[in-house]
Amino acid sequence: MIPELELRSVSRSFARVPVVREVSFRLGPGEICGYLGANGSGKTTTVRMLVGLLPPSGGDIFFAQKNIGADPRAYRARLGYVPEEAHLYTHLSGIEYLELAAGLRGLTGSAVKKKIGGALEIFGLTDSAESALETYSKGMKQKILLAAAMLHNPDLLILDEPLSGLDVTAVLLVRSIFAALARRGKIILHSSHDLGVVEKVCSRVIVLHKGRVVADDSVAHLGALMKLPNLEAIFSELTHQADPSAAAEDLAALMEQ
Amino acid sequence: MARDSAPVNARLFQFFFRSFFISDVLAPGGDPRTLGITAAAFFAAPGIAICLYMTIFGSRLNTNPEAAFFLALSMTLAPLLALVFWDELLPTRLDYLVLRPLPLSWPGIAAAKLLAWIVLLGLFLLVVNAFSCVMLPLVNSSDQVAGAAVLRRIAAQALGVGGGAVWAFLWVLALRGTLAFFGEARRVAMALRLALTAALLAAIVVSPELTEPSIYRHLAAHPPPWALPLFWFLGVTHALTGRAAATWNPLAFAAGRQLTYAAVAAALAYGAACWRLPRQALAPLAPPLRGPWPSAWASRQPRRAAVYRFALATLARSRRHSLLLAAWLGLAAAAVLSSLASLSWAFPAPTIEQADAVALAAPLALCFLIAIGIRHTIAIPTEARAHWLFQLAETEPAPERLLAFRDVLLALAVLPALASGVLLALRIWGGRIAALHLLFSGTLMLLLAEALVCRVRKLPFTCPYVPGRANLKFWWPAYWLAFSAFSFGAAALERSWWAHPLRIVGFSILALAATAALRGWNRHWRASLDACQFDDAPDPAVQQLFQ
Repeated sequence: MIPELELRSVSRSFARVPVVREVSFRLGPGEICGYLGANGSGKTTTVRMLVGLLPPSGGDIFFAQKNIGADPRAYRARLGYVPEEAHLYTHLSGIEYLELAAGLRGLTGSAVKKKIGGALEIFGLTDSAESALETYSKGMKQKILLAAAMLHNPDLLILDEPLSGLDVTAVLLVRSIFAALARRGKIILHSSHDLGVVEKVCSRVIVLHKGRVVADDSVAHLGALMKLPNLEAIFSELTHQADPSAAAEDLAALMEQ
Repeated sequence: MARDSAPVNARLFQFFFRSFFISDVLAPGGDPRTLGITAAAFFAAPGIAICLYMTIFGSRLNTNPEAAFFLALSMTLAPLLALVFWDELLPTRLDYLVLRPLPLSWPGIAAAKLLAWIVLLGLFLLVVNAFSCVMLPLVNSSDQVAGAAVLRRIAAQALGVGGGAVWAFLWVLALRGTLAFFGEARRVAMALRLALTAALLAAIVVSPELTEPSIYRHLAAHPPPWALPLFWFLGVTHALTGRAAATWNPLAFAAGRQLTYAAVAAALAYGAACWRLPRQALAPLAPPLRGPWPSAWASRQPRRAAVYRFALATLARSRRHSLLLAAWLGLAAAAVLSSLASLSWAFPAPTIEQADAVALAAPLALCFLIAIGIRHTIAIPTEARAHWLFQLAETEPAPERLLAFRDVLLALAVLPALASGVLLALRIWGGRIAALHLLFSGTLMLLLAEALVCRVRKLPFTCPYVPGRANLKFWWPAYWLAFSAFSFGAAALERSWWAHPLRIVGFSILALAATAALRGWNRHWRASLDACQFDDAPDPAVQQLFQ
């Protein structure tokens, strides 16, 4: 079965206020898709529906031609997820957290230990592996979440702000990891605010504005269509962003009073 | 823009004082005002209730045993307060990292924290003791006293209970400061804190025994070392009211001396810890406590083993959960101690069979209360927003992972209680009785563990907790009956069958059969589950009868 992710008219409302409206798209193997939108545009809500933490109010989500609600266990087995905020069990050490994540997915034995040790080494966490997560910086926690999401070799990675708090070296590393995973046929949905990274990493971008998809194409094609030089300009145009220079001047003047 | 330092210091004090009521140990996310009022009512209740009980039922107040009881209550509750707020006793690493970059002096921050503690302790002692301090002299039925004499008695009682409580509190502060100065030996600190918490809770539960005149007389005649502080501060109360000066004045002077030692020790330790903290704050924290988990109990099934290890790590490291479990341990210790104490003043004197039965009941009582404590503790979630890990890793049917709870019960309740029971039996009665006890108690404990696993569909620490679900107000007689039957009832039965070992063997076979049947039923029930429960809705406000 081809691992393909498809959303058909997916909507979600909270207290009758629509947050995600009729979102549809399809992602195939090897695709890295940037999921963009301003704060409150519905990105995280979409991501939560995609991972099954939140049921859609309307529409369906399919993976490998099967509705994910029909066999959620089978879907979860092929899913890796990094949440928007690094909510972890902070009383555990880094290595304990990864062992917990692996154990809960039924992974055991020397192969898992090798995987965990390797991931910690690649992310530069070997020295702090035994320290409690409460002592980790935001970037270190993010690395643990990324490692935990990949331990079971998932076909689909849903990543909500995965580069948040990472240093430059780590961002370069994670970008290369995404590329390597895509070459192996994994699907990566990368929800982010960082337009620079998305432009460099993603083969395709979906832009969300007030819960609706307003663009779904490659950056190059969108730029050519809209006659705009880069993703930042495209994003501002599509989401009707106010002039940031004017807003900055207003704020500085306000603080001086 | 000019800034006045006085309001800044006042705000710092308010910040520290308010932080006591938003502690994650007590009520994460709770309303501070509600927590404050609830806590005040909770701690004032015992003093009020006991005074009223004594008044209504004609007990003579202001006699030595009653005064000793209220003093003991105050002297145990004050250090317990310090243990609950163990991490907040001193300025914390977070205080340093957040407040130091602001234009505030470090000694000023430390002083504000100390002032917040002084005010909190003062209010706490007022809440705990105010009613009894006034009631004791007022309702005294033996003396005809009025006016200034009553006020003097109130002041004497207040100074006695206040002095004793402050003395006990200061020693905990000194201990905390010393441990912090020497770099937070976390394993030692955690073990000490939990042991002290359990011991103090046991002392609170046992302290009403002091009102039994025979016990009080025995203690007063030959006070053991642990009871000396009680008599020092009882001496303060009686010396100030002018009673038997030859007896009480030396004790009152001893109380003053001991209070001075405690104050000096606490001041030195607090100062030293605050002086050291800036250097420690930026150093990496020590790794969390690892084991020694009873890993041998972990299942070979990786999901179940993962949940089991997670549960043990959380019980050992989470301040809130470890304190709660320590409270149950204290209750268990109190149950055993009070039954042992009851033997010493029983009239007529207990038979050897009764004494044996109480000793046999101790491990069963420990097992029961620790097992119930574990069931209660693991229902309270930790890091609620991290549960997605368990939800998204649910890639197989639920049953196996749910059994991790039984593994935890076996490792932390059944195994230690059974081992202590068998060792005790071996020491007192020899190998034959120890073997019978192992058989009898072991099978009963296994049955208890299986019974507690019934209908559990939550993984430990991963589901929101709805307070009041257990409906203790309604069910406490049933719980008490179950506890009494499991521990003291079963022990009496076991003792009566020592002469007929076949009966013990037969009973154990029956208990094993019941365990196997229950296990089969549990397996069948779990197989019908679609998923573990990660969300708990409160009961509807209106419930239909018989539903």
